[in-house]
Amino acid sequence: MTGRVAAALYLLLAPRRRILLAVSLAVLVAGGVLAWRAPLESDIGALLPDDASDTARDLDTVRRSPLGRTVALTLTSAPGANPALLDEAEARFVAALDSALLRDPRGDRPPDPAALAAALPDLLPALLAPGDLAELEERTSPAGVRLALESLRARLIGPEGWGAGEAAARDPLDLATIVRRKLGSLAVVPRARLAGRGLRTADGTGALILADTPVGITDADGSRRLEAAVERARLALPPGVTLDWVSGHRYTLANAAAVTRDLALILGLSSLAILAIYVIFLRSRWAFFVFLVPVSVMAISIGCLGVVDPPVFAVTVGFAGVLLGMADEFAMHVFVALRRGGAPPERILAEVARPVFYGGVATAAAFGVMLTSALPGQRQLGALSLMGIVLSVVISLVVLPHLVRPAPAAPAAAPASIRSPRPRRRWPILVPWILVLAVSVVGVGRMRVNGDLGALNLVSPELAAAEKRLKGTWGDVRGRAMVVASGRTMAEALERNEQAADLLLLRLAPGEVVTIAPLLPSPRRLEENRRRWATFWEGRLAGVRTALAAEGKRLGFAPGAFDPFLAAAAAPARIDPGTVLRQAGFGPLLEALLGNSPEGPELLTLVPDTPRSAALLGSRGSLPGVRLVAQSRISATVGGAIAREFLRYLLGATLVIVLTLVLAFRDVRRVLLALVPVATGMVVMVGVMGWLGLSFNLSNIVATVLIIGLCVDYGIFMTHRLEGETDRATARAVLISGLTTLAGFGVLVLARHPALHSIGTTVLLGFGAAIPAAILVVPALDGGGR
Amino acid sequence: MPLARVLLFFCVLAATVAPVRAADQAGTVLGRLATTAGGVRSLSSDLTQEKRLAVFQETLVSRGRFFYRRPDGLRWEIASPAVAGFALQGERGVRWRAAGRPEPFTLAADPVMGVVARQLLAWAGGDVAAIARDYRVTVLAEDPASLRLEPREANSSGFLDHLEVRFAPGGRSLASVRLVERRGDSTLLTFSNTRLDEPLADRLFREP
Repeated sequence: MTGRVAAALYLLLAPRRRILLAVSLAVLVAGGVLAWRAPLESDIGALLPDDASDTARDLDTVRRSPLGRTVALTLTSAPGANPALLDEAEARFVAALDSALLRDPRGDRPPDPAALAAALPDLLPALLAPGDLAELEERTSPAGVRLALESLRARLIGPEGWGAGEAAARDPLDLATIVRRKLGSLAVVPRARLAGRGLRTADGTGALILADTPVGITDADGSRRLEAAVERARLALPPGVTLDWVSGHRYTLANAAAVTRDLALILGLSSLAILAIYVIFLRSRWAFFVFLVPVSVMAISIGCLGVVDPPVFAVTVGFAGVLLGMADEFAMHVFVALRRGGAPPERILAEVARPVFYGGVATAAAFGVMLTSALPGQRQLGALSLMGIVLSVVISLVVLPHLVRPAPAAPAAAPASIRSPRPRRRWPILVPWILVLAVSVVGVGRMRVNGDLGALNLVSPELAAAEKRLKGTWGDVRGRAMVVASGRTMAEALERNEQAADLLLLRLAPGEVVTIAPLLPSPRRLEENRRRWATFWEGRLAGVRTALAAEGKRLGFAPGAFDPFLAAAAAPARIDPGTVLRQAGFGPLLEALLGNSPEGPELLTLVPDTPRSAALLGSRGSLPGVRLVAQSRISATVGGAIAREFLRYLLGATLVIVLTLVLAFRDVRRVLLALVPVATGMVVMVGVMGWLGLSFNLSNIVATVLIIGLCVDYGIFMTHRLEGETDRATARAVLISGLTTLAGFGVLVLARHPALHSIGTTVLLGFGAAIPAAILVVPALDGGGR
Repeated sequence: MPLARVLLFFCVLAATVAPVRAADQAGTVLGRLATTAGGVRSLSSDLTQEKRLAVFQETLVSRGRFFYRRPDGLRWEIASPAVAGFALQGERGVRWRAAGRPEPFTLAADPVMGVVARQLLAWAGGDVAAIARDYRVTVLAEDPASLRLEPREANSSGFLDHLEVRFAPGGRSLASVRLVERRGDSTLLTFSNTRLDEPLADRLFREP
């Protein structure tokens, strides 16, 4: 029936050729305009899952987290330089930053260690944990009081005693040490100390600014503007001070630049290669219209996508470019059939329409499985491919026949290089084929899945060096795992954060855990701490008062010198630790560990990204509202997701393809024959990757869909033509369209970007096996079955 | 009445002229100090420190030594009743007490030490520009020079109310420095037996 419809359409439109061509041109122009104006989204977050999976949630947490967006800027002065130079450099640099893109969270209020030191004694009642009681007891014992006052007297005599009189009266026993120790839990930057305007290296030659930015780390355009802003601010630095900076945005830029360069190279090379293939194999000026089909398909598809599903992801447009090599397939078969001649055009069309139609259905169905992907970029690519396939089939069957002049009645001689599809001797073809499959099957067992998204990231030597310098100067600022405690309210989130912190601080080494829990207790714990303080002093205040009086008199302190301390012990001020820390300029350090999700507030605790940390927290759900977000775990879960996604694609695509083939052929033997190219391509691809030690990653799923979707067409075309006379033209069309697909995708193997290179390798292997299987093995198997 | 108006005129005139004359006087004294104290390359003195703190029953008296070497070497050490002190070269120094290990510091990281050291360096070295920049200067006496300094802004980490600095006759060295804190506590440093322009070893300004 397909053939009859195609033939009837041809006859209907033949006298109305000009109208058809005018309408086609108008549609092409309209599509081109829409494509040009399509809103583009350069955020490569399209390549990250956005479903309800744990992986998607974790990746979203990383993207949203304050530390995830932070830009780490290091200013360095020469060894021995005056520290004031670094202060000046920092002030100038921060003033020169574009505040819409980059903001120093300290604002005009840098951290004030003196103000914090003055407030520490007042914080202790609010922060007194059970583990602090032992030290408090020791310091308030008679021996502790004696030691403390002797030390105080010596300190007041020394140079640090100037201005310390008030502090001495408020905290003669130096209980602030207990709180000071808790400040260590806020060491977001392991090797930094607080000096001057902010964070400094121990030798004072390095300053670190952790700047906030509203630009998402996957936003390529925004990252470009951010980089420009940093470079402008660099000009404000005084001589002798250099700038180094690291953030996720630099990776995005590096990858975007690499992908752009690669695609420009690839489009150029593939276009040249396709042109060369057309010239060598087609040798007809009418072949220009075959080339026009994929160009038209691309323009119209992108234009429609821009209207139906905006914005269009840049990664989608990037891959659409290489789809040039794929969309000419159906046009190629129609063209070759028409140029073969030997019958009226409508009869030729009637013959070729069926395999083209079913080939289109099978390919469209295979790409349609991508619509169920968890990655928005892949879903859009699936939609684009679907539209492209449908358009390609329609244009090839309806428009192209009116553009191509059919060959004369006598069929043109096939080039000697294209052999008959039905070979006389089968076993010289089948034996190697079986051997190759057998070896590949063994290789399939060696295949590894790599879920590390970093393996798909391009890391330039410059960026790697910057990361190394950052880590060498400041410690591991960016490589730690996050323990995320979330709640519907801040109180709930704080409580869950405390539960996680209590566990981690108990089991991990000091300095390994960065948490605000010791300094920002939940309302419930705040009251517990205050009660603990009150209970402690109930029985001890009188004794401490006596000890202070006695030792104080002995050492020359005035009577009543420590009354402020005793009054505060008995009736401490009810202060809010968060407010005190923010007023002392430590707000940014707190905010770095506070986040927000659509479900409510989140608190972050940083721990080493090791299996030990993961084991401490157990599986998801062991601590309600607390989960671990770590690169190592994301890699593992993404790896599992890739494997599941691959199997889902494979099974889903195989099912729809088999159904399509059953509908097309209604014969088990022919269905199996039609599956030979795709099965060969898949097995060889996976097997050779296994033998070569290449791991299967996210990019390879896209390549797998391509192989399944396109190779099935070769099987359909070859099987269809085997029903009747030997048809060299079909084999020729399969070879040429296969070569153009290789030209379109195979050149990706030349790409620098790891993801594109991975796709190119996969396609080369898969198509490199599927094309000979279609041209040689299918006829050989068919010859044996007859 | 005309006489009342004349008297009023001169009162107003005096009120406007007095600050101008005070500023002139401070400028003159500071200018002279820049020449005298500014020409000293090094000095060493006996040091007496008297601390009048509200927490102490009586004034706490300590004795030690003080050293200065142009442009930025400083050593302040107490020997009795307890051992304590600091040595400074440029922006980096080390301080010590009888108990515990010597502790390195930088002026940028220690606001109190920053104030103390910068003042001592400024006065010992006659850096009148720094003094005039950071403090409002009132001349208490011209010869020997005696000045009252009030911080222009909170560059003293908030604890300092004013300084009273007295120079020895001739203006080449300090006689005393008195730090008065906002809550009333004060520290008086008295310098005696001062020797000028003698060679001083490097280690004095680097080691405890």
